Amino acid sequence: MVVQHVRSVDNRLVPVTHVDEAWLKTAGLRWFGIGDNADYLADAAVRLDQSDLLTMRNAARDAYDMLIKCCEAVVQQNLWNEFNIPASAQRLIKWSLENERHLHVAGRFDFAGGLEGVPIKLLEFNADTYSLLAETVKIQPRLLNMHGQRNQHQWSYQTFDHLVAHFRSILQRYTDREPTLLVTDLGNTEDRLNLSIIEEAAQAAGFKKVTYMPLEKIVFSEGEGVFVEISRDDFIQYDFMYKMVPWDFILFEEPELFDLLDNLIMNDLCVIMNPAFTMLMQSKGILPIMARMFPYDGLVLKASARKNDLAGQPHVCKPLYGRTGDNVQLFKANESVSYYENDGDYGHFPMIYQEMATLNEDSEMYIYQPSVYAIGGQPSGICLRRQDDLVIDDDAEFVAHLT
Amino acid sequence: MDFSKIKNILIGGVILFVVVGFLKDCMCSSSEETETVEVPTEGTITTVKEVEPDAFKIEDETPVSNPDDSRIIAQYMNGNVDTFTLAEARLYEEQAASGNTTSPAGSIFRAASFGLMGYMMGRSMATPPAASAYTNSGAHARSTASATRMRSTATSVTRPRSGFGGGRSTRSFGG
Repeated sequence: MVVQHVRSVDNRLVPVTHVDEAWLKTAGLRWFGIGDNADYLADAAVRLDQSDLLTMRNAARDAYDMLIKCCEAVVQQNLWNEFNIPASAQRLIKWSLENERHLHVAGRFDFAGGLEGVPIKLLEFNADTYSLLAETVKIQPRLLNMHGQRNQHQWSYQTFDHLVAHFRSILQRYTDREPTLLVTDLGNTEDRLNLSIIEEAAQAAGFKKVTYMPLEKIVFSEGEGVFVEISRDDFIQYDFMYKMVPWDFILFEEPELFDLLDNLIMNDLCVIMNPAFTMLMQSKGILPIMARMFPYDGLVLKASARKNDLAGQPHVCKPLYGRTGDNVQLFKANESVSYYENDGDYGHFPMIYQEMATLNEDSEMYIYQPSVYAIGGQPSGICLRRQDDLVIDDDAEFVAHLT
Repeated sequence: MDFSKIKNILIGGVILFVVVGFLKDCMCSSSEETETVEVPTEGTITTVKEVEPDAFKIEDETPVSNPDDSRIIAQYMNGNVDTFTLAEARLYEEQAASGNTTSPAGSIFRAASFGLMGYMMGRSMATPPAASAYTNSGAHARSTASATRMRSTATSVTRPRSGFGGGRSTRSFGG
C-alpha cells in the first residue's frame, strides 16, 4: 500500500546483474523473466542489517501470535458475520483452529516500513495461498551467489529448509497414513511454480509419492477420500493434499466442494493443507478484529468495516477477500471519493478500511514492501517487492535482500 | 465407490493403488458436465524396442481378451527387459497431461501410446496407429487390423468431464 514518501532506502540499494534467461530456463523458472515479466526481477537488491532482520522476524512472530488470538476470538465471540462465513462452514473452521494448527505449512506476511526508522506495520497475511515462494527460494539465492554472498545460513534465507523440516514433522505425526501427497491448483502458471517448491520440499521431507493434478481432475469422494482417476475403474488415493486454491474461493465459488472437504477432514479421510482456519487469517476481515484487540500494538494499523471510523485520516479500502492489490482504493482524509483505484475481480465483496501506512521509498519514487514467510507459524525467509506507483500490485518487481 | 480389491505395488518408489470398483456410484467431482467416450473391451501386450538410446518403437502388439491384462514389454539395447502394467502407463499419461513428466520410463510409454495401447491410455479410438511408431510395416499392418477389430467391440461410457474449478479464471491465487 502507499504512503508518505519517507526516508529513502537509496543507500541500501545494491545494483545486481539480471539473472540470465538460460539459468531461469534450466531452473524451470523462465516464466519469471519473459513477456509481461521481462522487468519483474529488479536490477537492485536491498541490503538489510541484523537490526532490520530482527525487526522483521519479531514482527512476523508477534503478528502470527496476535492473529491466532484473533481467530480464537472469532470462534468465542461468534464474529463469523465479519467474514461473511455462513453457519454451514463454521464447524470446520472452528475444528480446524482447535486441531490443525500444526498443518499450517506456509504463509507470507506483507509489511509496510521496517527500514530507516519507519515503524513496521502489518498490512496483511497471505496465510492460505501466497506468491513469491519460487522467487524467494530459487531466484534470490541465485542472485546472492552471482554477487558473491556465500553466507545464506541465516533464517531470512532458510525458507526451503524450514519447509522440508515442517513437512517432515507432519509425516512423523501421521505415521498411520500413506506418505502420498497430491498438490493442486486451478492451472495458473505462477501458482504452479510456487507449488513446485512445495512438491520439492515434500519429496525432500520423505513423501514417497508427490503428484501434481489440476483441481478439476481430482475426485473427491464423500466418505472415502481424495483420488486421481486413471481410467474408468482405476483410482489412486492420496492421504495428503496441498492446495493453492484458497478456502474463500472454495466456500463461495464451489460450496459443494467445501462440503466434501468438510466431510473428508472431519472423517479423517485426507489431510488437507493449508488448513481451513487460515481462511480467517487471510481475510481482511481479521484486520478490524486485530485493531480492536490490540489497539496499542505498534504493528497494528487501525482498521474497521465502517468507513466513517477511518474517514478523518488517510485510509485504504480493500475487499474482504482479495489479492494482488485488486479493487484497492485510496482516500485522503475526509474525502469520500478515492484518488486512486485498482480494478479487479473482488469488488463484489464487502470492504474493509485500513489506516494508510508509511512505506519506505527510494529517490526514484519506488515504494518498497518487505515480506516475511511463516513456515509452521515461525518466521522463515524475507523477500521484498517494489513498485513505482501508489500501490503494490501485479506490476511490482521482486527484490532480493543482501545481508 | 466400492473397493472390492486393492493391490499395492511398489515399483521404483512409485506406490500404485490399483482399485477394482465402479465409478458410476461415486458422487464425487460434482460437475454436471459429462462426455461419452469409446473404450476398448480387449487389451494388448505391446513390445517396444529401443532403436536408439532412449528412443523406442513398437515391434509387436498381441491382443488379449482382458484390458487389465495389458502390458508393455520394453526391450533395451543392452539386452535388459522391463515389463509395465496398464496402470503405470495410465498414470504417466495423467501426469504428462498436467505437465508433470518426470518418469524415466516416459519414452517407453510415449512410444506405446502411438499404437493400440494408446486407446487404453485415453487416446481416441478414431485415431489409427501411426506407421512411424512401428519398427516395420508388417507390425503396423497387423496392429491396424487389430485396431479395426477393437473399435468394433468397443463400448461407450459416459463419465464426468471436469470437476471442481473447471472453466474458472486462471488468475493466480497467490497473495
